[in-house]
Amino acid sequence: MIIAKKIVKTVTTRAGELTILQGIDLHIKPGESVAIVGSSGSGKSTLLALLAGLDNSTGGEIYLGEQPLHAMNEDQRAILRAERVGFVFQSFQLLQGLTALENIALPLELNRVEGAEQLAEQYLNKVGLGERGHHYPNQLSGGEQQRVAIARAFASQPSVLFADEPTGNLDGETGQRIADLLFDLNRDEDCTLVLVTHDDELAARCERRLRMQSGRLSEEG
Amino acid sequence: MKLALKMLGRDWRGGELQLLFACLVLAVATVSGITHFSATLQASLMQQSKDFLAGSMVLSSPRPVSAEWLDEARSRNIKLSENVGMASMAYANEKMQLASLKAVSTGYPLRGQLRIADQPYSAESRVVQHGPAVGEAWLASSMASLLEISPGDQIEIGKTSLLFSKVLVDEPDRGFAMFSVGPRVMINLTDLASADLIMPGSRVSYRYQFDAADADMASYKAWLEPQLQDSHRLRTLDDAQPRLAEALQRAERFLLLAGSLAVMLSGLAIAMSAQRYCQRHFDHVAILKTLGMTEGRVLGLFATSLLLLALLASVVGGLAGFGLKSLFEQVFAEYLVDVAEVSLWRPWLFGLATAMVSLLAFAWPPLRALQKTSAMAVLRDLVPVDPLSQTLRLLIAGAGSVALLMIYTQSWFLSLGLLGGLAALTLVVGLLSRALLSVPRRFSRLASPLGLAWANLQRHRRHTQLQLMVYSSALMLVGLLWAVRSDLLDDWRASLPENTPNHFMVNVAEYEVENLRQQLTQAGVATETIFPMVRGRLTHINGESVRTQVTKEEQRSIDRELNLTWNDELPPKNVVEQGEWWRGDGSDGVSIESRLAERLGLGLGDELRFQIGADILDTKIQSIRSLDWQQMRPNFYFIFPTGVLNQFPATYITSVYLGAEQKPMLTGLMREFPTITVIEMDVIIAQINSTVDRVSQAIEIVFGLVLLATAAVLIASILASQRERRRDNALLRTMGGTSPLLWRACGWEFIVLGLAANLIACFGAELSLAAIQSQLLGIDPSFHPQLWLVLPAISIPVLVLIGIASSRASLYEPPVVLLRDS
Repeated sequence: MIIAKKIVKTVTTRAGELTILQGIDLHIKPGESVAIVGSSGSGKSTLLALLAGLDNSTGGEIYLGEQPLHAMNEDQRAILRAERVGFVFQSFQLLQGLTALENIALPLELNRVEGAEQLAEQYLNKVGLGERGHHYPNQLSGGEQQRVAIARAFASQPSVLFADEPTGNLDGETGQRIADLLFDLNRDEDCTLVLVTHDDELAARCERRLRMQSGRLSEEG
Repeated sequence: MKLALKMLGRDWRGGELQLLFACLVLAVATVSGITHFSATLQASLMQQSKDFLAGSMVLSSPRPVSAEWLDEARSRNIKLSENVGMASMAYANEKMQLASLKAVSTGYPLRGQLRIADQPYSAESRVVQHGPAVGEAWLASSMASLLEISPGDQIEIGKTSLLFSKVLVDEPDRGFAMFSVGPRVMINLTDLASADLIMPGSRVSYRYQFDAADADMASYKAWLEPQLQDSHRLRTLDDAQPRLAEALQRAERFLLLAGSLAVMLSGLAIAMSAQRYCQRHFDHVAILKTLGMTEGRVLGLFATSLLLLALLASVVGGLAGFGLKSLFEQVFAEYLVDVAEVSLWRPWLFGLATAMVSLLAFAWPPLRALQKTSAMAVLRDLVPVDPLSQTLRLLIAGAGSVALLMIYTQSWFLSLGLLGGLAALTLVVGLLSRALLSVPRRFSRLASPLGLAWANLQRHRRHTQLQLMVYSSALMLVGLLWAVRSDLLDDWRASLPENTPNHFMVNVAEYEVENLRQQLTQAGVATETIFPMVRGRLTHINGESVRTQVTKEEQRSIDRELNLTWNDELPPKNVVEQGEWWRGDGSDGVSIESRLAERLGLGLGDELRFQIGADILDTKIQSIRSLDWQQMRPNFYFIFPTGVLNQFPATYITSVYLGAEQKPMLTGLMREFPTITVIEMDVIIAQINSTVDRVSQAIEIVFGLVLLATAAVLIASILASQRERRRDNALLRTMGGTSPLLWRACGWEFIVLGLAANLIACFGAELSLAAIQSQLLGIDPSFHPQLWLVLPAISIPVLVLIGIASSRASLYEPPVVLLRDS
């Protein structure tokens, strides 16, 4: 469950103070899949960052489960992320110095999960890359890298998975396959999915669609 | 130009240029500072050598030289002074004493200074630039004691009576005449004639000092030399280097060498920061190109911008170099004499050339890549193709490095040698680091600080190798110098420990030995062995006359009365190299010092004949002995067993330590033992100790430069990988990595680097030290456990601190940047 109450985010620029989010209220139920859509600069990625505890809001309250993200410092949020949150980024964000298997095992180890490597192997198999575990990111294609990123995100069995334009850097066909994988795993693992996308087709696969416009959020159809 | 200035200002404000600028300043300051100081030191040493001769050139002769020679010198505007040395009796107070008389002309000393005091054995003295006036005599302290006279009394030399006006403490051309016939009396040359001392057959030494500009001196020397006879001896600056000068020259060579490393490291840091500067401008250039800027203009813009930066760095570095030179001058203040002719511009021009060569060799290749950036990069994330091949880049960097070293050392041998050494080290470190980095990281949990650190080191493999090479070579040099310095200092301190004898007492008669020992003991002065001394001449080797057996050069060193002694025990710091010490069965021969044996080509069993007075003594070499000539104790070429020399008249010699408060007792002692001559070495010992300290301080300053340059490379290499580090740390935070984990991982990364670099450095330093100890210092190679403890104990914390401080920004990277990156 994610609850956001009157979230405000302002940043200071040379031109003065800029308000990106103007009092957002949001309630996401456990297991729900939600797409946040909107034009560039509308504030959707900022909202995602705040909901995931990657950034601090200027005002308002955010709860991830029972935990008040707005009252936590960066390290407390980091520990919470390790326990309950998974991420998939547009540009994959794999550690180049680690193999595919190690990239998946890393968050498990950070969370002190027993048998991290075996679990990582299981998820690597789930995304169909069982044979590529010892390959480094630069030896994998974009689609393969995103599969590793998805395996990494699900391996720690998060209660919420945040995805930021997960197919944005991939061609149509690969994007389609990655989206299938994401939704399949989401269904199997029964976790909440919050994704930000420009892709209407992808958004349409979610149970709820929220539109962000000039820092305000509205529910679609 | 306007655009370049604008860009320079913008980049400066954006923090892009500070490191490049700092590296350029460091290189310029090192080169200009050390070359400037080196020039000052050279000029000063030259001056001091002239002081040591009391002129630029000295002609010695047993007879007055042709007046024509002196007239010729005067006609060439060469300054000239003259002194006459001889043994003569001095009378005063109804006492007489054999003196080593020196009569000096007006103008003496042409170079250097005389040191005089108002009272004998006084701690206060002052320097003067002239000898005694007509009618006056300056006496050594011991002479005043022996004659029991004080300044203001009269002294008779030959047929003239002179006023004892000052105590003579030191003279520039004294040399090291330990066994001169008696204490010094210095008078004016005019008074020598009225003393009427010189008669046919007198043993007199005439010395003529000349001084003029180098070119005039050289032409006069060329004119004079063909006319010289065997009895004449011409000494020039080449053979007049005081012993101290050797130490100072070694220090200077060291400064050059260690400074070279600082210059090379700065060059490397310049290369890395220039590379980073260019990489960060690829997007900028791509946009400029889409807006229509040509390749030529791109190159012009960036080249002008960097050129302006180099000029600015030359000015700041020149000023810093001047400061550095002043710092060295302060350290060596007491050894430097005023030298006006050292150019201020030359070192600065060297510095400017350093900055320009550094930029050309290290910044030009990345600049070329920048120039070739494709406009397409604005559309796609293209990595620019480097227009220069790897080999060409290496060649340019190599040529640049040689050019830098040449500017700095002015020696092909040194420059190529250093570069070769560094290349060899690079290869070894490259292989070692490759082996190290291939160690699998499964020995540690991946998400532990050490696991992450290891992964990071492996990931930035090239940077890790480069960092290892830089740290290990810098640490090796630091460790090497520290250990050599410690070895040398320990060696010195072992030979000159606290309470090292600082006064020699010679000419002690046999009947005085026991009494003297008692007197000294009563006064609380520890006595060393009192050695008997018999004067004898080596005349034959294996039945052949010495003159036919040894070279003319060697004849000069042994064709004089040598000091022979006897002793049952092997004296301290003497080691029997060949043969055996006394058997005590009456068949014992003589023990000879090893270097003399080598020079004369002598071996065990060779027969020697000595002439002692009118008697002949035949013996054979039973042992060859090495000894430490640096120790302030009586040392002997030849030692006999007890019983062989006893029938010959002997005097005794010993050395004692007298503290400043004990020194006044000498006056009373000299009255009681009037024939004993005391040679005061305390000033020389203090000077030697002070030199060692000064050289150590200079080494520390250069250490500082090397460490600064190493830090610059460390920072440059961290900044080069900053972007990736930021992203990685943000990602780790996203996945739940806490600040302590990231900080510890960063710390471990530098601890591992430090440990590996120290391991390589200590190992390399021990190997080099073994070579230096056995080849240069002539001592047995020894292991330096302290090195393995002290070097890591100091360097690793410093490395970790600098490393973490430079990586700070990336450690605080908020995870939200990953979304912005997208």
